[in-house]
Amino acid sequence: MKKIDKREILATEYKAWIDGYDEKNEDHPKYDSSHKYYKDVLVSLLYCQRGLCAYTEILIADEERYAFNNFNTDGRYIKRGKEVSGFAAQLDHFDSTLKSAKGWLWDNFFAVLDKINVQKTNKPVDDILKPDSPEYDPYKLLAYDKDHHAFYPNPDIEDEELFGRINRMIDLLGLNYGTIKAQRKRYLSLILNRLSLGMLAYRELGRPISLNWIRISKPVRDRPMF
Amino acid sequence: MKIKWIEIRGPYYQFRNFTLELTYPKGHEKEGKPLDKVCFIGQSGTGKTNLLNLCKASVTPGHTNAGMKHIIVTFHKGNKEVVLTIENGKHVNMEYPDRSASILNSVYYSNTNALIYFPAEINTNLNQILQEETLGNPMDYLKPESAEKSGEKGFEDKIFDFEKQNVLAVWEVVLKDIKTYKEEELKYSQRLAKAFVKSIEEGERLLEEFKKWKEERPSPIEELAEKLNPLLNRFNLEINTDFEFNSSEDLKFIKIKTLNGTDVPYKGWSTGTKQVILTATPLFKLNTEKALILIDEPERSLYPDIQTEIVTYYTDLAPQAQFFFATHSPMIASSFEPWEIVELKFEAGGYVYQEKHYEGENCVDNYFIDPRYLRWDSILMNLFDLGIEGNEAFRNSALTQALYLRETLKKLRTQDKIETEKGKKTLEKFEKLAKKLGWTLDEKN
Repeated sequence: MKKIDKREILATEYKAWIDGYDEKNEDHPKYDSSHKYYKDVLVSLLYCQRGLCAYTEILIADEERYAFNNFNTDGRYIKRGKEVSGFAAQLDHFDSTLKSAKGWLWDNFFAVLDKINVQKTNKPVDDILKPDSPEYDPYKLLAYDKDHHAFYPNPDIEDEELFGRINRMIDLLGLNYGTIKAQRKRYLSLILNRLSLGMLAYRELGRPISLNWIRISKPVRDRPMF
Repeated sequence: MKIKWIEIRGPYYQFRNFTLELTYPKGHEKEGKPLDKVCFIGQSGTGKTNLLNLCKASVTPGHTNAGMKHIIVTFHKGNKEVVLTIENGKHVNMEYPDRSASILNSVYYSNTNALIYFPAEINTNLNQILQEETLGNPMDYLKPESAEKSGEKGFEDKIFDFEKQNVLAVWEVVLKDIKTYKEEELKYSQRLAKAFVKSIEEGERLLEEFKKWKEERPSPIEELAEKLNPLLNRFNLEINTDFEFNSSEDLKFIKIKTLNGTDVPYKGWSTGTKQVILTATPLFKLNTEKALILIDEPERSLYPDIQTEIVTYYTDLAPQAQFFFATHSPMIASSFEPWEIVELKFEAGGYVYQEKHYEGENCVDNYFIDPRYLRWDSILMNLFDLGIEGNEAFRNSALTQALYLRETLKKLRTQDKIETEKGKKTLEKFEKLAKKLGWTLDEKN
C-alpha cells in the first residue's frame, strides 16, 4: 500500500468552498454522494492516486478519466455527456466518525474500490496505516509474501501491540481480501515469470504494463472502471 | 432437435434485448453446431429457471405464459433450421401464419420424446403420492378399475414434465415395461400356486414355462439396476430386483435395499437417493434421441463427490439429447466446456446480461476461463465471482500471523538464535497455525 501525496488538488472550487467552513470553524454541510462536489472530489483524488484504489491498489480509473483536463479553469470537474452509473470507484471516509461534522474533509477522503468501501463500513480505524499520513512508511510497517501474495506486519516489529494494530488495519482495509489477492497474484506472477525468463527487464517495470497481460483471466471487478 | 439461438426482445421478466448464441465456437470440432449441453450460472434472481421455462415453452405451446413476448428461438431440427417466434404467450409461425406453429410433429417425434424437465423440487410431488400408506393386496392392483385409475390420464405425449401435477401418470409411462414385467411375474406366481395344488406334474410343467419366460425376457428392473447401482452403491444402496409381492407397494414403484439386503421403504429414502433415482431412471428408460433435457439444480442433496460426476453420468444416459442445466455449484460447472457456460449477471438497470468469457471473436482460443482446468476454489472465485477464498473474518488474520511467524523464524536463524527458548516457542506456534491453515511445510511455506 503506497504512500499517497494528496497535496495537488484539481478540485479547487470544492477546496475553497470547504476551507471557508474550516476557517470559520463551522461544521461541514451534510455529506451526500449526489452532492455537486462528489465527482470533483473523487476525480481529484483519483488524480493523486493515479487511478488506483488507495488501499488495495487495484486499478479503478483509466488515466483519461482522472487526467487534469477533466477540470475546467475554475477547478470544477467537467461533467461528461453520458455518465455510466455503478462505477467501481467510490469515496471513502477513512475515519467514519468525522463524517457527521467534517464530512467533506479532504484529508479524510480516499478513492477506493467499492467492494472495499462496503467491507470497511464504519469500523474504527487506526491512523497507523493511513496512506497519506506524514508518518506512514509502508516499508517499515508492512512486508509482502510473494508466494501467498499477502501483506503482513513487518517481522522487524517485535512489539505485540503494534503488530496487532497493523494486523487489524491490514484486515480492515481489505489488503488481503480474496479477490484483491487473486488479482494481485495474477498480475505479479505474470511479471515475475517474464522476469525469470529474461523476457522483461527490471528497467521496464516503471512503464505501464499492457492490460492484455492481466486480462488472461476474467477481470475481478464486475463493474466498469471510473 | 437442439436449440441454437434464443433472442428475447422482451421484456420477459429480467430479460430485455438479450441474446444467447448456443453453438460451438470457431475452431471447435463441432463449430457452428448446437451445444450438446448448456449450464446456466448466476446469482439468484438472474433468471436461470426462467430460461429453462422458456426452453420448455419453446417445445410445448401449452407451457408458454402471457409474459413471453417478442421471443425468437432457432432450432436445429434434422438438417434444417426452424425459427419459432413466441408472441404474447403464443407460438407464431412466421413463415406460414395459417398453419400451426407447433414445432412438435408426429412424424419427427414418431418414436422418440421431445422434452424431459426436472424441476429443482423433483421430490415434492412424488413424495405426496408415494408416502401414503397403501399396503393393499397386490392382486387388487391388477384389477381393471385400479389400472384405469393409475393410467395415462392427463399425460401429454412426448413431454415428460416432472413439475406437473399428474406426475404419477408420467411415472406410469416411464416405468411401464417394469410394471408389465412385474405383473407378468405376479400372474405366474399365482398360476404356479394353483397348478401345484392341482398336481405336481401340472406345477412342474408351468414352472418350466416360467423359467423359459424368464430366460427369454431380460428383466427391465435388472437393466435399470445395472445403470443405477454404480451411483447407489456409494450410498450403501442398490436396486432391489427381487419381488416379494407382499403388498401393492411392490408393483407401484422402484424398490431399493441396503447392500446388506435390508429393504428401504420409499419414506426412508434420503433426498439424495431420490434425486438420483428420480432423474436417472427416466433418462435411462425413455427414448431421448431428439429430446431437450432440462435439469434445474442438479446438485440438490448430492454430496460434492457425486456432484463432480453427475453431469457426465446424465449425458452418458442420453448421449444424443441436448441438456440445459441451471446450477449454483462449482462441481457441476467443472463438467462443462467454457462455451457451454452461460453466466448471467445484473446490469445497472436491473435487467440481465450474459457475461462473456472470451475477448474478441468467439473462437476457442479466445476463452480465458476453462472450468475443467480449475480447482474448485478457483471456479468459485473466477467463475462464480466469490470475493473471498474462505471465511476471511478468521482466515486472513491467521494467515498474516503465520507469515509473520515464519519470517521471524528465518530472522532468528540468521541471528543464530533458532535454538533459543524464543525460537522453539515461535516454531511450535508456527507449526500449529500452519497445520490449521492447511499448509504443507515445504519451502514456500
